[in-house]
Amino acid sequence: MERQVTISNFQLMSLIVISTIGASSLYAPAALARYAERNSWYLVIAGGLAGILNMFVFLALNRMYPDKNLIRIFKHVLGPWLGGLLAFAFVCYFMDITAWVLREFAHFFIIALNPIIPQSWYLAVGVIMGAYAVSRGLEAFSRVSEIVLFVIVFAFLGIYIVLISQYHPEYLLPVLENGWLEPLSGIVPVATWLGDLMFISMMLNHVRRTKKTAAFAVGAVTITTVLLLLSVLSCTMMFGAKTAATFTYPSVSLIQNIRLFRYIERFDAALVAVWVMSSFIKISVYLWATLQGLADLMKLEKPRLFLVPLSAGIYVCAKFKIWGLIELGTFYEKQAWFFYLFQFVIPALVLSIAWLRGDGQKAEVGA
Amino acid sequence: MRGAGRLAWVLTALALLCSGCRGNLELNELHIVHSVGLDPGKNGGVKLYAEVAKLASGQQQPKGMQNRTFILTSEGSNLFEAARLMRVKSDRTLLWGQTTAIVISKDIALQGMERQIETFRRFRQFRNTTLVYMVDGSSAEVLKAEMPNSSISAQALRGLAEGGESTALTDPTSLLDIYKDWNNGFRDIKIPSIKVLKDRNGGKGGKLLKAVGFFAFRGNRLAGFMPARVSKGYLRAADRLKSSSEKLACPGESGTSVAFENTKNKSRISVSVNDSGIPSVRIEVDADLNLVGATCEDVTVTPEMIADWEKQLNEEIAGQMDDFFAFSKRHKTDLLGIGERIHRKHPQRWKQMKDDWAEIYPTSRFSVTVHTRIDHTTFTV
Amino acid sequence: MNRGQTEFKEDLRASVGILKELMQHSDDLVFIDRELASGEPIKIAYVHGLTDDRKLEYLLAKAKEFGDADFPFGSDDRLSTAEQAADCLAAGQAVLLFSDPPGAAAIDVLGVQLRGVEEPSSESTVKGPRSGFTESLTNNLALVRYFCPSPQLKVQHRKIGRLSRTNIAVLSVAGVTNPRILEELHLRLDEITTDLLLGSTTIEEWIADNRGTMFPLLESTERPDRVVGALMDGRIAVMVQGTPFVVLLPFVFLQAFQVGEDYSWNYYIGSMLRLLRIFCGLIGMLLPAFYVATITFHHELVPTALLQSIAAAKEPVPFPAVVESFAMMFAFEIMREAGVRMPKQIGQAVSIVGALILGQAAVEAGIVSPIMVIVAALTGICTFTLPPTAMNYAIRLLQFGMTFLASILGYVGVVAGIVVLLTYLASLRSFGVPYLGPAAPFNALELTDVVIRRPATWNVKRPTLFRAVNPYRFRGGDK
Repeated sequence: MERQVTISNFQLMSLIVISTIGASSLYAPAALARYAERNSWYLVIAGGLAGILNMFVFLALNRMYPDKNLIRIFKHVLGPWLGGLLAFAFVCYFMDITAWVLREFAHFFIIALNPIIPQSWYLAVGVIMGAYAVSRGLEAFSRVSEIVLFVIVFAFLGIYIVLISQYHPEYLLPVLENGWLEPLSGIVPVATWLGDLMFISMMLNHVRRTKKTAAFAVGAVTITTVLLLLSVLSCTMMFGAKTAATFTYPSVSLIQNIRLFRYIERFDAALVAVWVMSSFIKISVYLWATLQGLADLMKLEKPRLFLVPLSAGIYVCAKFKIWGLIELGTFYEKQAWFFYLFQFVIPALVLSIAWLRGDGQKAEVGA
Repeated sequence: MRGAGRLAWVLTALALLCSGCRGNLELNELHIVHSVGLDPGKNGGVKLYAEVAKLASGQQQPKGMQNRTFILTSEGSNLFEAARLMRVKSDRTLLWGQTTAIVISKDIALQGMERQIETFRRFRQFRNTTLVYMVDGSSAEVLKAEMPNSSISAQALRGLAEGGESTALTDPTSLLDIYKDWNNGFRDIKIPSIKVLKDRNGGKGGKLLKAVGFFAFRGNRLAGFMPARVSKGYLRAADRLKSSSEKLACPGESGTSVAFENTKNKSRISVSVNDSGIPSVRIEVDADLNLVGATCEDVTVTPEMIADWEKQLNEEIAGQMDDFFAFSKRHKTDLLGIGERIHRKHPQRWKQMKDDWAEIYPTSRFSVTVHTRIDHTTFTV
Repeated sequence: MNRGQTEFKEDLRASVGILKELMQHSDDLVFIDRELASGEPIKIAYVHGLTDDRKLEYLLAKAKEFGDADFPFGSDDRLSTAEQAADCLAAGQAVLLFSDPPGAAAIDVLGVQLRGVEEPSSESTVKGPRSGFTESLTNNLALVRYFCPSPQLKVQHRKIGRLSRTNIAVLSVAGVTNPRILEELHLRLDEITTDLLLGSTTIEEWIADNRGTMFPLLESTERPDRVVGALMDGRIAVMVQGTPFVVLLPFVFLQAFQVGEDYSWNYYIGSMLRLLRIFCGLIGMLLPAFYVATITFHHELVPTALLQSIAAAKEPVPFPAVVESFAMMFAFEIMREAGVRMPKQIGQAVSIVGALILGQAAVEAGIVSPIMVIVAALTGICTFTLPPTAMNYAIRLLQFGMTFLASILGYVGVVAGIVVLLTYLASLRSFGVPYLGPAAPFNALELTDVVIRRPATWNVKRPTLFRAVNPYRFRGGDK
């Protein structure tokens, strides 16, 4: 048994923040504006609450079984057959998500930067980065995520602050003109973006748990919500809701408006750095979760050997998954229930079954 | 295992190298496009002009933006095709991402701006802050004009737009502004106009450019041209006036005038809708002016004189804005975004008025209150 | 190889013969006959030239006065085997051979001509002590003790090297150093199986966590004040006889940007200089890559006028930007390496020639563009701001890798490279301490003293960075 891998609370928080904000803050304003127009901020707050709820499910599961990750919990609670089936489904889900993330990663560059470089190169770069990180271990890329967290937060905050003189707050009016409930029709896609934090189900048992772990976790979701809120607000105040909805990546257009010293423009490069770093963390995290899940499911002795075939498989999957970005966007919105199922519904069900079984009444918070 | 890992890295790198680097563009292979002109072409297509700077190489000192330029032309059924086909005439790839200004011919607008705006947005390379101009005539003339000290007309166009800060006769309008206004429906779009002045001496010397006035649109269609006075009224009403010059006629005489410099201007718009659905707009303007020239005879600058001038200026400024209101009602262009203001303030009423807004707008009532203040006289009494 | 356990004989001449055998019949081995006060004959052996004449004369004179009863040497000073005696002789001590009972004792009479204490040439400061270590181990230990006269300073001697039998000393401070790291160090020292230990680099290579990495996991210094500072931080120092460079461990990445002089200045200045160094490190690694990526893939970022000028300057150059970049960086490395070994007389001429050839003439001939020359020169100068540790070289090597990535994929390549590099660094450990130090895992309090310099009056807590909770045994870093 190798030495127990532990990550700290702060590292957990940065992993969560990066995985949820990295992707969504780029295209969220557009998708949300389609549902809620000017009231996207309201939708974001609602989504944040849904995310916290999602987080609690996993925290509770972890409190009940402090040393088990999700796959093992399934097997424990539901028995070897049903649990094994569900675990297998989840491992496939993780693989699927990794492929989705990889594809998103490549698409951003093709659309925002340079369509001449072939997509397969970007996919290759993404999967190589992820595989390398997983091969160095959870601790290594968790440490990197701390650094990346600062870079991302400061970059985003910097962008929003620099543009302050160009905002038109009146674009947000009138507020909630069609009532409270109408914007909430888009709650499921938002919840699924925030629900991407479900990888922590595989990781919580590696966290050095203290009294503050839950606070850090909830804090992470809060930070994500705040950043998403700022992104949505900036885009709405800058462009107006309808225009923001027509952009593919509104945040990129936001950055293109930054103008320093009259001549320096097109700061897309800053966004490239942020996007590559956050996608790197997200790909690594899900790849690690997949590998871990596979190892636990099939009780592998040397999971390392599976890394390269798994990465190659995910590369192929990502390449041929969907034809174009339109399909990706549509899938995220129309078939969001698919993600939601795995992120929230099934773990919540398992949690209730476990609770009914009476587990975890006296569980201690172990290491 | 580690050796195998390293070998994998090296092989990957070699594979990438051998497949050739794609997507990179050396500067030696590029023509940098500085400004773009758009004219209507045959069969409803477009004619595209691109101004490219010549590179003076082999010298110690690069010339920056002082190089000579040349113009490339091509035709196509839409903007994108025309841009692609231009490559046929160009020995290098064209770099569109540095375009500073776009000049559109009025004739294109007569066909409907929607197509052009949509294409500009999809043409990913253009920056958000690219300036847009409209010319009555062929845009190629504008691109060929050479102002002194900037042989690249993009620089001239940008400078002219910024001149609006002191004259209030033009305003920098970027691609993003146009797209935003058109897409969100907050207000009707306006595009600054540019004119090419023939050289007085009739020789082949450089032609000059002049930026005065705007072309106003009603939705998709060209509504009309706003001359200098109307433009000034518009900019003042929209709170975009930074500085301008005003003048009053001297009492009694004709031909001489008192000159003022308007240093600060602030206007507030408030809208309301009365019960019969007629919007009324109140605009309050606060302006600070300095006296800069009083060439009348028998004029001494006294506080009473100042008060009198202030009253006259109030009327003069209100007159400019009234001209603008008349223009906008006549052409049915909601340049101030009155509709959107009503939407923000009375969302429920707006729902009823929304569909007929084009008809309701000309019935709106505008009232202007101007408070001018003459600050300095720059003279000793 | 088993060292023998040869005992001394009663017959003095036999003992002498054994010793001569062990010392390979060296011609500089001298034996002198003396008699103790009791009349017992003894032989005094020493290596001529290694001994201080005055001490030796004193010893020879005193030898007559020693009686067997008041023998001034305790039982610990007695040598039990001839091999020990040979070791002592080779180390410069004088050995007294007794016949009744057979045995020997060693006395220190070492006196060899060595360099005096002078300012270290590789780490000069403007404001601070100017003593540097010398080649003598005892002298160096004395200097450290002088700068830190604390009874808690612990010194442990060892001998490394089968043939060379070099003395080393391990210094630590009781109560501050993590005892597990010390233990680990000794275990690793035990594993050293080398014939020769010359200089501190051999030790560095043997005891490092991860031998396959180009990033330094230990550092070395010539200054006693730095050693004392490090010891108080909880680090350990290893001194080797024969070299003024002392090995300090553990070492983390961010320390490559710290210089002892920061503490001699006001904390504002110290902090600014440290931040400047970190920034220069980043520039040194990334500037050519950034330039190549911008010029080749991301032209829109550059202001139009500048792009026009760069395009005009690059017009006559037939090579792609990446080739230019590699050529310039290579040329710079060549000049730098040549500069290290140039005799001082022609140093001036060569630097002028270098500047002329690489700068002016290459530009005029159309081989490189002037911007590239500027970029390469700026990069080179930035790497000079860093203290001359091995990290310097690592950063310069990385330049090439980053430029290559930039030429393939633009900014994406550069950032991917940075991220992979960070992951690699994060997975390294130096004696159990995570290599990315206080930055990751994040520790705000310690980071302030690493990245900027905290005022001395704020240093209330001892840094905990080097008292890692989980150092562990096996090599190769954690996986």
